[in-house]
Amino acid sequence: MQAVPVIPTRPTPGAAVTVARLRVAGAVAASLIAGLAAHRYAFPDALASFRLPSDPQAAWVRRASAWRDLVPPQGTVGYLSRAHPWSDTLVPPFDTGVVQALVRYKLVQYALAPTLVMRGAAFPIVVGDFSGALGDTVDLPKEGWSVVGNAGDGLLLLERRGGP
Amino acid sequence: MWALLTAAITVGYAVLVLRVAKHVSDLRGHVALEAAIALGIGCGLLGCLTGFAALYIGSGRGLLAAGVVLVPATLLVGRMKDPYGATRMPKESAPRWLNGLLCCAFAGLVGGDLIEFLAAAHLHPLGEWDAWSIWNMHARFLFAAHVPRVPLFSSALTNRDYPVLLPGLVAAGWRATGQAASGVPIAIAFGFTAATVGVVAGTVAWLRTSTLGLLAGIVLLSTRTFVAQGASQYADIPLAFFLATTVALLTAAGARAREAGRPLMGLAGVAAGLAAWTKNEGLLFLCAIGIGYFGSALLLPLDRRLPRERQRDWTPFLAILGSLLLPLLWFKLALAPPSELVAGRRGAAALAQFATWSRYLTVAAAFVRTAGRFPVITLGAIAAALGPGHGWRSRLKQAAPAWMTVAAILVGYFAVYILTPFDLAWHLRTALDRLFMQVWPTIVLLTVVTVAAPEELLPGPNYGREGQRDQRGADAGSLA
Repeated sequence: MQAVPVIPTRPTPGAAVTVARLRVAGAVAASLIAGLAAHRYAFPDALASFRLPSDPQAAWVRRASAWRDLVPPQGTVGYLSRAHPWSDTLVPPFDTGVVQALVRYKLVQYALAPTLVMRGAAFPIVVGDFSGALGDTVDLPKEGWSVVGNAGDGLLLLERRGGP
Repeated sequence: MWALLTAAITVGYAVLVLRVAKHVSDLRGHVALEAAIALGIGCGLLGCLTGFAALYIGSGRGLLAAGVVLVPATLLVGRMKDPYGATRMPKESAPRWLNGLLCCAFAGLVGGDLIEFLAAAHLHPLGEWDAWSIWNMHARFLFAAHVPRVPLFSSALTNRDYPVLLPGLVAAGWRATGQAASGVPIAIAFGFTAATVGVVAGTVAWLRTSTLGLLAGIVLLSTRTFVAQGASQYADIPLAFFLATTVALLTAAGARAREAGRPLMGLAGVAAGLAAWTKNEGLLFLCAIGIGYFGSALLLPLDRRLPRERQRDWTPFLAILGSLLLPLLWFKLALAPPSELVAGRRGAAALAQFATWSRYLTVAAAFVRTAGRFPVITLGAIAAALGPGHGWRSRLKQAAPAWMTVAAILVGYFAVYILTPFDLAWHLRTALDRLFMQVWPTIVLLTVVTVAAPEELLPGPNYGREGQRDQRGADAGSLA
């Protein structure tokens, strides 16, 4: 049986073309392996995470945001926390309790902005973080304050008696 | 009304960028690249102007100011003459199986990364720590600003020296939607993540070939933390976008005659200025450009320098960069407090750290470890497989100033870590990955743009019929 002649449309394969093919195949294989390796675990994790609830920070902000009508929009409110020692930045040395307290402080700042939230009680309105992470009992300031908002989990909005 | 105004101003700036891009004849038709540059720079200009103006006159008026600036900018660009035709040069095509394989891989990675991005946005709608405690927090103050000098600089807030491009953009989005919804920063984060891929893959496809563009995109999308960092709503991916765009446009301008490169140099100036407006590291990037481009030019002996008509015209770059830097300098010097890295630092303490050799070892080890988390081996394999060959040295030489810029940035990061006032281990653990990500898209772009294209190694079905690179006037060793 006579072979049908093939009309070449590309250069005749030779050593140079084989090497070129190997080079291209190597580059393509490297990129495909990298793609598969990167997503081997990340992709199933991503699919699974859709079934999980959002992080609690969003809920915390939502709860504190409900107080926005109760605080002066251009003013400043105070912030009390039972965390000790206190850190204003997330820089070591720190322990878990301090980090959690700082995160809650920042979340309250975020939720109430543009009202400024500053540490201390020298303000007519004060946010108190008395959450259970640092103790089970709610330790309210002793005198002269009334609770005007309770976001739960020990987060209270306090107003100095006699009005702001 | 605000939604319409915001959309109109964003589109206005994007169209302005496209109008400048139209002056680069062979860029026409590269829709993804044009869209990525227009989207990123358009949003960047909106955020920069809105954020800065909001500090003085409130967010609503700040948005109006951004609209007012658009008018003379449009008139200026409208006066640019188009000296080039719309002809597109033919390019070689790769074998169909190769194009198909790479397209499928790229599409698969885009789909996978999209799902990972959405999952991260679902889990952390406020973004990660820096996103809501710094960037979006500042955006909240800018959004609600009705009076001059918003309380952004109160000591109750942290990182008050950070530039306001990203907060300004988020605030503009919130102004458009009428509420501080978490969807706005998520959409902005997605836009910059996608635009970064578009710029890297699109630039390589534009300057070289489409298969190389796909390879560059695949490597970037295969970077494990790329999407996670994009979804975190931090400013590192927007900064990575502006760095990659600046380097891409400077590289493209370097492969053109002086006159033809001017629009690209102007756009590169905008991107570089916006990088400085995004994060403090952007200022380091500007210094690195000076070292990389001007330093390398000065190092060359006179007889090996290009003739003047082949050199880049830096006038548009410097003019636009200067106009963006002036308000930033005002912000830094008159409004913002000094950076936490230098505030209250004593020279003696810094000097002691400088002379502590163990810090160098610690930082170097962390650099190596962090680099190992990026697909550097993949990039190295691609460079090793496709690199050596005809024209590689010439292309490397053209990209040398850009590589020097990247090296200068990394040296700068190294020096910052040696002198950091923070706990070194903590500072390395929390920030080095993000710093690497800022330059990683640029590294991918520069590596892939210099290797030999599969189209040049494996002639495709149109071999011998379409114009070869040599025939169209740009030799095989050129980046255009």
